[in-house]
Amino acid sequence: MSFLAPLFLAAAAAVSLPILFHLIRRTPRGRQIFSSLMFLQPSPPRLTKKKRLENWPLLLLRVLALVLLALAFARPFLRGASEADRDALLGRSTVVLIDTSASMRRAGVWEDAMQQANELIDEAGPGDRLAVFAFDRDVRELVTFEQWSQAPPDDRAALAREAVDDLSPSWRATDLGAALVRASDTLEELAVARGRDKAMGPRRVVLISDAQHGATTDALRGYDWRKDVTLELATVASERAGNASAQWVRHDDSAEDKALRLRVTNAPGSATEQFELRWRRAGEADDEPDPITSTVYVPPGESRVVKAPPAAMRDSTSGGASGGKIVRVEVAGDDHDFDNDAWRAAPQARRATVVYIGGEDANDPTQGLFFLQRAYPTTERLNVRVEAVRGEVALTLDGPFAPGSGPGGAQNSPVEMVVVTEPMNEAQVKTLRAFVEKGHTALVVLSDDAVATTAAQLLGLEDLSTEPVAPPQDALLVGIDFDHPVFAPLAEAQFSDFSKVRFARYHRVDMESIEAKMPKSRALARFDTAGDDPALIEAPLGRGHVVILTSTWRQRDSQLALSTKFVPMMLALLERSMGVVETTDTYHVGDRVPLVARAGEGEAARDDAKTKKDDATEGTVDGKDRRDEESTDQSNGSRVDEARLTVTAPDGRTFKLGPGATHFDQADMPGVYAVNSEDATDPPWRFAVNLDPRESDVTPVSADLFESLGVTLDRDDPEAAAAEAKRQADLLAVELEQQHKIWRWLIVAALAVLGVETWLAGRYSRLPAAPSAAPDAAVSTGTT
Amino acid sequence: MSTDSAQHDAPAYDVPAAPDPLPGAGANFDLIDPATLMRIKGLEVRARAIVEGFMTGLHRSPYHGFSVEFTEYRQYTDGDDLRYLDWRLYARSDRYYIKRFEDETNLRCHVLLDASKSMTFGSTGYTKAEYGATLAATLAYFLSTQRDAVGLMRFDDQIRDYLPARFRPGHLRRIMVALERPLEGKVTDLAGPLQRVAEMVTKRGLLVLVSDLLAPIEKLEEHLGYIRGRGQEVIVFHVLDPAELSFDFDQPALFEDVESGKTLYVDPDIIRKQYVDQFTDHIAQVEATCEKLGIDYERCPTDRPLELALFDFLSARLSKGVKSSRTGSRKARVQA
Repeated sequence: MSFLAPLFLAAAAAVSLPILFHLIRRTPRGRQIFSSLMFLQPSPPRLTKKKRLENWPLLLLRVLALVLLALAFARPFLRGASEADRDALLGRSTVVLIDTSASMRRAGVWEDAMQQANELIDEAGPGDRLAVFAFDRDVRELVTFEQWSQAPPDDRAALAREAVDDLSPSWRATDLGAALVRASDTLEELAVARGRDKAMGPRRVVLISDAQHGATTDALRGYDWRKDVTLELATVASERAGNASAQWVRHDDSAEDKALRLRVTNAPGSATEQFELRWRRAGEADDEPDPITSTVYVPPGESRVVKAPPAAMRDSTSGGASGGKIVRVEVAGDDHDFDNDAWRAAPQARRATVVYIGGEDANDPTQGLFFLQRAYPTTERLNVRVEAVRGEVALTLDGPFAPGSGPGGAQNSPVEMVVVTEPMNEAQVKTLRAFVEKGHTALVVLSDDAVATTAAQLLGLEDLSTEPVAPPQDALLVGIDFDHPVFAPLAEAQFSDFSKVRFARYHRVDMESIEAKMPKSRALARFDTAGDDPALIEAPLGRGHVVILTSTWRQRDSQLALSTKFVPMMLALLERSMGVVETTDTYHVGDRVPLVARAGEGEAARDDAKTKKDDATEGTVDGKDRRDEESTDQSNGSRVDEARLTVTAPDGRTFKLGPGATHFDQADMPGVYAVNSEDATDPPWRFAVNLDPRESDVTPVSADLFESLGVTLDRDDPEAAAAEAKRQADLLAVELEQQHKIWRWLIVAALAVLGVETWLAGRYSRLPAAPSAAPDAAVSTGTT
Repeated sequence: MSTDSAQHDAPAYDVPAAPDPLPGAGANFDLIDPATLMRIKGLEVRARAIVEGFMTGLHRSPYHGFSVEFTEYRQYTDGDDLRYLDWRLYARSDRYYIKRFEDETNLRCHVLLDASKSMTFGSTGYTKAEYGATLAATLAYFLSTQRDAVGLMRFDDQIRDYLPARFRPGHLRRIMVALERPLEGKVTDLAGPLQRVAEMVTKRGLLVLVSDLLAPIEKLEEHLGYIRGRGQEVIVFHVLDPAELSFDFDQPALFEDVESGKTLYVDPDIIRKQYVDQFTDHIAQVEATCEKLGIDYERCPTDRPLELALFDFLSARLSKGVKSSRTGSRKARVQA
């Protein structure tokens, strides 16, 4: 028999009290008056002699009651009844977390990790529970506790080892925090499943990782790590600390200097300071005899931004777009080569034509065309031509803009948007309507009432009543819907001041008549005049939109063209009309690469885009591009429609995507991926996938970081281990004791004994007092 | 005097049932048993009984007549008062002698009776207070018969009753009445009253202190010494109950202090030896203090016949007379 609280047994010593009380002579009731107590000392109570113990039965009962109480409080339990359970109770529960991030590819690190994992698996005893998780950006459960428990004890190690042997390091980044949280949660689920108040062996997480500085631990912040779950660090490290990496620096389209820029970062512990950069063109082999090289000097722990050498830039054949065919830069000279390549997809300029229906002189700055032509600068990614069409010519809007229908021919430059400033005939309207319904945008500028008729026809309304208004004071834009793609680029506080855009003239449009027919139409902006006349109206038509500007940007009507808002708005309208997400953005391994958003799926795509925006932590992808994507995501995939896409990975693997695919998720290695549509009419679109730059920060973190995040570390402290073992043994004892509950019976027995004692004592007290009892009245007081 | 010392050397609590006969007294010299005496209600009657019995015995005493007359001749020296020259002797012997006589004035005696609560204890059927009052009354009566002036002071922690020393008709009666009056005394504090007495009694005389002296004696020496220094003769009658001396209780009990009311659980069998040692020690200290100051100390257990106390008083006076003449502390005067 064991005791849960053996200290209470000491209370059994209290049995000496009743014995003592029985030995003590009854205190004399008498008082003795005395002249002075000056010379008296208190006397200890005198005991009767041992053989004069009185009331033996009472004494025995009292002693028995005390002993029973002491035993009950000591909470006895019988050990040994469930030794078999004991192992199960006290077996260790271990989650082995194996880091498979790209940094584990360093020489020797992975082998070391595998060895540690196998040792852990071999260590597991029959009572232990083991789960093996692998993690990089995501956590993958290789062997769960359930699988482990269900497997026969002899096969468990083999099961885990098999799962571990299949592992290989990926190219992904490290989310250490999420992995630890997942492991802790798994252990917690195990404890909850077993019962929170029950004894449980030590629970620990063994982290087999290089614990690099670049690993994300955000998930641990605010996570309540349980104190009894310990983290054991099985850190694997490379002997060589030096590492250099390269990332592209976002190119600014409007910058004068078109040279490519690359940020080269050197790890803090690096012994090397000078690196060679090899600028490689597409299709160039690694052993190219004469690569374009440059040298960069980066002190350890710092980074430098370098420009592509002129030789690399000279290679350019893309009409002014910078960078030419450079697709990869290799950093040579550091210790680890897993992150030496920075990939880049050679930019492909997108050509587009904006058809301007209006007979104006392109060189007249008082007219609208003058400004529209200048609103679309030629950039690396976009090459826009503005074609003016006047008179009642037949419009050909499908495919490349037909030569002859306007000034100059345009090869390979599809019409993407139409701006209407003059009335059109019915055939033209019909063509335009079909164009819009495919997903494009037509901007109707109400330069006079006649254009309103065209707008009505285009929208399928019987009539659109308009009324020219020239407010006494210039009108300003109010109620601007900054959530709309047209205004979204201007939503930030520093851009959203429209108070300098004044409108002298506009046409009052009966918004209600449009809404009556087209309930989804809405005013994107209104004038601050009485009646809140709409300034910019959007009406969906088919998969596209008709946008009506109730004023114009001609100088006599408004200052819109002169304001800074004009170019972003026009660009936003065009990009929305073009509809395809096409970007030379660099993605990281494991990112979802957005391909196209179809009509009706805009919201989902926007959610994805927002999620990505939250994930964005590095400056290589800036906010503006996100918004671009967002806006294009929301518009319709007019070009790729239902086309099936094929993605070719850098290593030659091909992924066929179904018709509904909006993202490509299998970007699992760095390099340039090519996206081909099935009909192969367009040249392949390429995107580059690079290593997450944080993965290059391979400096090991100290264990203190985990402690600062609230994680309980297993410090190999024998005292702590002993304390933990004792705690578990105590828990087990508590559990056994709670099963047996012997103390209840002891308390009942003690109460029974006390009952008998009370009865007996009552009986004794009713008996006449013994003649020998207490002759204390004999002392005379002596006072007179 | 040898009887004195013999009596003092005896164990304090070992008081003989039959006291020692007086030196020179016959076998039929009976002493009155205090218990019997105390049955007499009137204090004055008690006092008379004692004094008259004593006087009867005194006739056989060799010390009759303490009113001393001629003591000695002394050679005249320069500066002596010529009035005291014995001219007749000069006529006979042609030498100058000074004739010296003992002063035979009336004695001024103050009886200081302790009336504190501790005196109300008694195990012999009467209390120490009753015994002390009887002793005081006896002394007053005796001194009155000698035509000496007697005064009375009763005190506890301060002086409560004060009758100045007088010899006049009715004064004895007043003393008796005062002694019979009950007094609710409080704690014994010798220091305060003694200091006050020293201030009040300015004329030289005799001071008889009747007390159980159950108080810390640290200041006793100082104040008694002060009184002595003012020229007062002091006799201390230490009234003690036999139970205090022997502590012969046989049952454990809660002992209650009469003065403070505090209680203490005491088992006499255990504590007796220690108590007796301490009490004896206390008495010895008091005695030593008195010895040091030239004060006569008489221990009076309450079961001791009062005549012996009276005899002690007289012998102390006598010895004091001899001592004082030797020390010259008493005023000598030549009667013309």
